[in-house]
This record gives sequence, C-alpha cells and structure tokens, in this order.
Amino acid sequence: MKALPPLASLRTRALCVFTLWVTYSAHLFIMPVWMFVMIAIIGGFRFYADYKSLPPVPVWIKVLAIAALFITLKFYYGRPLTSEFFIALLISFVGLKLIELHSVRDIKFIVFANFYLILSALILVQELWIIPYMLIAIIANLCLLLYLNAPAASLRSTGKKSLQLLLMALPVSLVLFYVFPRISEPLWSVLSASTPKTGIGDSMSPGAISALFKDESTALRVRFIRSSPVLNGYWKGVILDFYSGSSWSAFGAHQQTLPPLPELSSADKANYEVMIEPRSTRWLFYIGTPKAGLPKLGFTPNAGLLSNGKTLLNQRFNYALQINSNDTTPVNDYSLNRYMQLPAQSSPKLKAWAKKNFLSHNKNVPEFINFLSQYIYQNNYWYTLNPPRLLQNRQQMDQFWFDTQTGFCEHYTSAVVFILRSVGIPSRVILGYYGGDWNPYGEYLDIKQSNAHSWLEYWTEDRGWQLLDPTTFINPAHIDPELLLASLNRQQINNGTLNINHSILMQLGLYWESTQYFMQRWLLFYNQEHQKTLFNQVGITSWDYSRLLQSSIGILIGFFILFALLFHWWSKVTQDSLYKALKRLKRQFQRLGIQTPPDATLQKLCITLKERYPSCAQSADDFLKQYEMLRLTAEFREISQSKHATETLLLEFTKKLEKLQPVNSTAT
Amino acid sequence: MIQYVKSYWNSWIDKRIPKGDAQTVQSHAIYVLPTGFGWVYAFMVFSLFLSAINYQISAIFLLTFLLAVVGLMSAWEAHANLNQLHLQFLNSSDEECGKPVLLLLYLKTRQKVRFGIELRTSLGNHIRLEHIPSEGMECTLPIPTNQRGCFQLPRITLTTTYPFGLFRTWSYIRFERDYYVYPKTIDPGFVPQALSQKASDSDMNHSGDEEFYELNEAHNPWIEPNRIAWKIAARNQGWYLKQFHQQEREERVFHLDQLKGYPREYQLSCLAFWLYQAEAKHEAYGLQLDQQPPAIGFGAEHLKSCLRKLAVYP
Repeated sequence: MKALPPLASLRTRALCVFTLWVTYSAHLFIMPVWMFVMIAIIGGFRFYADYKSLPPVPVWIKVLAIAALFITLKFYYGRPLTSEFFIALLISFVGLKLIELHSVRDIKFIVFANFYLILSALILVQELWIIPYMLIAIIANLCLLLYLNAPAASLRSTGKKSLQLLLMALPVSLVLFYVFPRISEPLWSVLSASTPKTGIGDSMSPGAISALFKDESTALRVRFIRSSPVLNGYWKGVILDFYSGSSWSAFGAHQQTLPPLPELSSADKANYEVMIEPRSTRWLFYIGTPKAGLPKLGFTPNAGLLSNGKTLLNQRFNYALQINSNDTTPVNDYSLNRYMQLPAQSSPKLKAWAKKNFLSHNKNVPEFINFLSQYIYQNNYWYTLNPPRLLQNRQQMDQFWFDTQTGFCEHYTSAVVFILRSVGIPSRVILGYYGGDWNPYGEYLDIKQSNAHSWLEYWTEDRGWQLLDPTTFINPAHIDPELLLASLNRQQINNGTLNINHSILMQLGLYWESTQYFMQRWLLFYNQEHQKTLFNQVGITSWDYSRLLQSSIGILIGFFILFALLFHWWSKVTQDSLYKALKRLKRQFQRLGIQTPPDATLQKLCITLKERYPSCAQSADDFLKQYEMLRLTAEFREISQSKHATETLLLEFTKKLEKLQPVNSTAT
Repeated sequence: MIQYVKSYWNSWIDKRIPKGDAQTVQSHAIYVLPTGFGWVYAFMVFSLFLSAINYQISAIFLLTFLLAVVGLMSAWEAHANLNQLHLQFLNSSDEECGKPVLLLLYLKTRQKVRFGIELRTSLGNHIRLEHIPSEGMECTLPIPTNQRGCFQLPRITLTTTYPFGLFRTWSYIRFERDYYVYPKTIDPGFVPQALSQKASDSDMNHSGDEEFYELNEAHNPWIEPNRIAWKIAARNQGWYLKQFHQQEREERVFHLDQLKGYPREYQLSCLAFWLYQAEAKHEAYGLQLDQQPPAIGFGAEHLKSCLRKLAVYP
C-alpha cells in the first residue's frame, strides 16, 4: 500500500477535498444543508488537529460520530428506507472518509465513491444544469486520478489533459448515447422518492387548487402532431366522485392498472404528445377521448388515464395519444349511482333550494343549467384569490352558496356538482389544467401549475357526459382584479392565433424555454420513443435490440480503429520532412544489411557502405561532401533553403541506393 | 514447466529488444494491460450502466459512455507516454561487492513531456522518474551487487501507469555492456614487503604525471603526440618532446602466496584491500595471479585492471 505521494501531501489532501466538494455541489441543492455543515465541521476539525499536531482521535469517538450521523439521518428521513436516505448516507460516509486518508488506495476509493455520488445526483435531479455539473465533476475526479499518477505535473496541465481527454471522448459518447438501444421497462422496481412534488393531487378540498395559482413552474408541455393546437382546452386528469361533505376523492384511487389502450407504433400517429413534469398524482392529463396511446397506457372513461408500466412520479414522463372527439361509451347503472352520491345531512338548505328550482323549470336539464348560470351572474358571487375560509363541517356548501358567495373554482365546482346531484343529475368533479401558453419557437403548449383548474361533468341520456365550467358564469365585474389581470394577460397571449406580438424580454424567455424543452427531449429525456422517432427521421424504420446493440459495439470499435489511424497519420504528418527523408535513407541502409542504431552518423554509415559495396564508393563520397557543404557551411546555413536542398540530396542518394542489390553478409 | 514458459517468454522479449547503447522505445515493443484498479473501474462503470438501463435516465447513459470511452483512451495515452522514449547508455561504474553499481542513463523525449516512469531491473530495485522534460534528463539506476564477478547489465523494464492508473504499460531495454563487481575489501592487518628500489635510469620510460619536465629534441615527434611541446613548435623553434620526472615510488607486487592458508574469497578481498591502499599511498604496484610477470604501474586505470582481474578470478 503506497503512502501518499510525498511530493505534496498537503496538496494531495487539498485536491481531494476540492474534488469531493465539487462532486457534492449538486447535492447541496437537494440534500439537507445541515448534513453538509456537519461534514464540514468534522473535516475542519480534523485539519485543525493536523495543523496543530494534536494526538489522533481515539476509535470510540469515531464510532460514536458515525453512529450519531446514522441515527440523525434515519430520524430525518423517517420510517421507510428511501433511496434518498441511502444517498445521504453515502454522502456523509464519503465526507467522513476524507478524514481517514492514509494511502493512495484511500484516494482511489474516494474517487470511486465520487462517481457513485454523481450517479445519485443524476437520479435525483432532472434539470438541465445537471449535465454541466456532471461534466465538471468528471473532470475534477479525472484530475485527481491524474494527479496521483503524475504528481510532478502542474495543476493547470493536469486540468488541461483531463479536459482534453473528455472532449475527445464526447463525440463518440454522444453517438453511442443516441444509438444504444433503450428498453422501455426497468429491470427491477425502484424505490420512489418520498418528497412530494407540487401539483394536482388525488383529492380536492376547497383551497387545494388555488394554492397552485402562484406556481409558475411548468406542469406539462404538449406538442400537437396530427391535431391543430388547442389553446383553450380543458385537460382532464383526476376524476373525483365521492363527496365526504368537505372534500372530494375518487373511489377508484387504489387501482394500479386500467384496461390497456391499443399501443401506437410511433408517436407520429398520435394527435398530440405530452411531456409531464414530476408530479404527485399517477393520473395523466388528456383532452378528448383516447383511443390509442404510447407507451403502455390504460384508460377508462370513468377512472381516467394511467400508465400501466412502471414509472416514477418524480421523473418526467412522455406519452402520446390518439383521440376520438366525443365520448360515446355508455355508462352502466352502477357508475351512475356513484355519480349521484351525496353524504347524508349535508347542506340541506342548498339541497332544498336546488330541488325547488329544478321543479320550477320542469325538470329540464338545459334550462336548469341556464338558470344556474344566470343566477350566478346576476347575484353577488365573487371569484377571488383569498376567499373567506369555510367551516370544516357538512354545511360548507350552504355557507358558500348563501352566505359567503365568494370562492375559487373548487368552491363553484363543488357547489354546482352538489346542486346537480341533489336533483338527480349524475355529475362529477374533474381536476385538470385549463389553457396554457403557446411557445412559437418550440411550437408547443406550455401548461403551468397556475393553469390548474377544476370543473365538472354532468350526464344526460341523449348527450352523455357534458363539460361545464361554473366559473365562466361569474360576472366579470365580480372577479378579483389580480386574477382578472392574469387571465387577461393569458388571453392576450393566446388570442386564438398562433402569431403573437411579444416584448423582447418575453420573446427571449420563450426562446430560452423552448431551448430547454428541446434539450430535455433529446438529451435528458431520450428514451425508446424518442429513439424510434429519431431513427424514423433518419430513415431506419425497422430496428431491434440486437441490431442496435451490434451497431453500438461496432461504433465503439470503429472509433478506436479510426482514432488509432488518425493518431498514426497525425504523428506522420507532423514529422519533420527532413527527418522523414533521413528515415527513408536509413531504411535503404537497413535493406542493404547495414545496421542503423540511433547514434550512427551518416559518415559511419557511408563508411560501412563503402566497405560492403565498393561500387558506390564514389557516389557515397560525393554525397557526404555535398551534405557537409549544405549543412555545415555558413553560406548555406539559411534554414529553409538548406533544409529543402538537403532533403532533395537525401532523396537522390536514396534513389541511388535503391538500385543496389543487397549482399548477404555474415557479419551482424 | 513454469521455468520453460518463463525462458520462452524471456527469449521472445529479447528478440524484440533492439541492441546498442542508444535505444528508442518502439511501439511494437510496448505492452499494455489493465491494472487491478482498471478492472475495478470497469466494474464500477458497468454497475453505473446497469443503473442507467434500469432507471432509464439518459444522463446516466451519457455518464457511463463518457467514463468508458475516457478509460479506454487512457490506454492510448499510456502507450504514448512510453513511445519513442530515447535512452542512451552513458556510463556504468564498477563497484565493490555490497555497494550498488551506478548505471548512468540519459533519457530524451521527442517534443513530449513524460510523467511517472519507473525503471526497474530484474534484480528488484527501481527508481521512479516523475517528470522527464522534453530536453531530456540523466538518471542513475543503482544495481545491487552481492557477488563478485563480471556481469552483463540486467534487462531494464520501463513501466508507467500514467494517466489514470487504469492501464500498466511497460517495455524492455537491454544494454549489452558488462560491469565488474570487485571483491569486498578486508584488511588482513599486514602489508607485504615492498620490492627494492630500482635505479632511476632503467630502460622503462614511464610517463609520469608531474609538472616538471625536461625537453628532448625529437626527430619524429609524432611517436608520442601527447608529449609534444606545442608552444615551442609554434614559435618555429623545432620539435621537442616533454619528459616528465618520475616520482620516487615504492613498488609492491601482490600475489596469492602472500596469503597462504586463507580461503580463496578472503585472499581476494585482502588483495583488493592492498590494491586500494597502494593506490591511496601513490605507490606503484602489480598483481600476480598466474605465471605471467605482473604489470607494475599506478593510476586509476591500472587499479581498475587489477581489480577486474581479481573480480573474474575463478
């Protein structure tokens, strides 16, 4: 076990610490900061102890420290053993390993652990900045390895060499990246992260959707393939049918898989393609009625759209759908009953009011709906960001409808569904997204979390499920000015057309977003579907794993052969032409049986030549005389002239020698 | 069996090593193999690759491919670190048994700085050169000695694990030079008698090493060109040869009979000691090991030739 390179032990340690913290840099954004503070403190203490030459820490203290760290992490992450817990454990142990550096092998171990840390950062973070982080962390670790083997090199040259190697490796890696076959199913199930993501959840209580209003992060991005862009669409996601009296949830929430949709062969046949960000619900968002999709999707009109394959909620997911424009599937009686469920003794006043008004309109559903819209419009119903809080009891709807009359989309939806169910019209709450921003550069619809909305669907025998958005009934004068401004802005942006007038700043913002989207699709999020699309574009229509695998290996081998050839050619090309002529001459000598060790001068070689081949003694003498004149006389020492002339001379002599026949000589 | 394989391998390598005092490491004689660390690295990259397949995260694929390609390219860098390295044999010293023989080499590169090259011999010792600049550097390789005699310089292995320690590259160099190991000197405690003083006008014309000289006119000064008095000739005053005075020296002759009864190695060690002592005292000495009359002289060369005779004495 070699000791640390004695050249600069402190320098080695410093480089090690630096590399480790570069590798940590991505984790600082995801992992709890106190962990890093603890590691820094312990590391700092150790360096201080080294500096002051304090006696080494006894073993039991070290054991205690490790146990304390372990317990704190376990306590922080809670009961289930999630992947983040293990990653945090890895981070802290590598940080502590830094204290126990005694030999070169320890540093190599730290480099290994660093590569696994980079891996864990790539698993946890799905943003674009992870790519530059990865490249920088790789270079730092390669520098450390290089430094171990060449401690005499300056840090600058070490960095340069690592960077050079990485840049040379990048093209082939990218080619392999795009060609290597991707499979669609993971090999084994993975532990999903426990940290919840923002977005629409699996249930709704008043106030749940409005919390997302301030969140401008992207929820989904839609690329329209065979349909024309829908700019003001209602993207359906979660279907809620059970009302507890204060909140809505779904009966079918526990279902793992749904009846599968026919699978499309490629995304080109779909109407649109959705890239959904990390989310907190399994349900996927769609518009229209899906009739086929990619990848393995399951769908029922009553439950919604799910991915039947294994996916992670904290990863981006891409899916494509082919749709029917209207839903004509019949609904059976059992489901209809579900959509009329109301809890007992909830909001009796509203129930009575609803029944009374329904009767007065002759139980005509369209008329009743119309009446409701007029009622909301004409009365003092407000739509605001900060509605007064409703009491958490079963009289919530009464309180809202008759008392506060102020609310957000959840309130209105909840109330109208309650009303419709009271009079016997099956209806359900839908959670999803409405609208979105059109990005003209990337040609996709960017739907943000602030577009989250809730609306309802009611069922009639002759027309099936109908969409109804009660917030559209509200008098525009009764809308919170802030909300009005925001929605007007959006309307201005969308304006029903695709060519919009934007300010420069907004244009730059849109351009940047579309670049990010592009890079995410083709770099971060490249998977089997994208691979298929890419190959279709290039012209390869049919492919299978073995062919792709073979071509990947072929590319790797081909790269090496090409690299070797290039290297060889380059070293030949950059050789001095005079040196090349000399080498050619030496080869002639070798052919004639005369040894040419590196320290043999031309004179010596010619002497041997004259001994063995007396016929060319004269030409050899001439050659030597001319050579000396060219290379050693002052007037001919002009560099380029002399060089060129010498070259020609050497070539001539070479040609003369070529005519000679080698004589077999017994002397070696 | 193993011996047979080893000897076959050694002869195969020897065929590829060029001969001569100045050698260049050629690409066809460089061998590359992964180190243990290299295998562990490969395993690690493979495990990263498996996790890439499982998680289907593209960035991990990119990481894996980058690491794999960089690792493989480092084999090429390792090869380039040794390729075209020029070694020149400068000098090897003869030493007493027990002291290391110093082999002086000059390493030169062509326009490339090289790092981390180790030179080791089959006798087990090695030196490590961290940095060889492009203009070249001298290095001294010590060769251990534990037996007297005349030996050929051992085969030198140049090895390096630059740049990342993933691959070990090595090549062999052999200089066909001999070195002598003299017997270890042991002081027997006595010195044999000096021979009687010879008359100074003997017919032996020693060329001495003193400063004062006489001038003899010479008709053909080119017999001893290193003794021509150039200044006088330059003044066109004729050709003269310098003749140096000889210092009065004691003369001794050492032979084995002076140490009768002792084991052979002890005898040789004592003779070596006497030779050193005589040289230190500026005496003239000669060594008689066989029936031939001994050559008596002094100076470093004479000492060396006597010691060499001792070294190879059976």
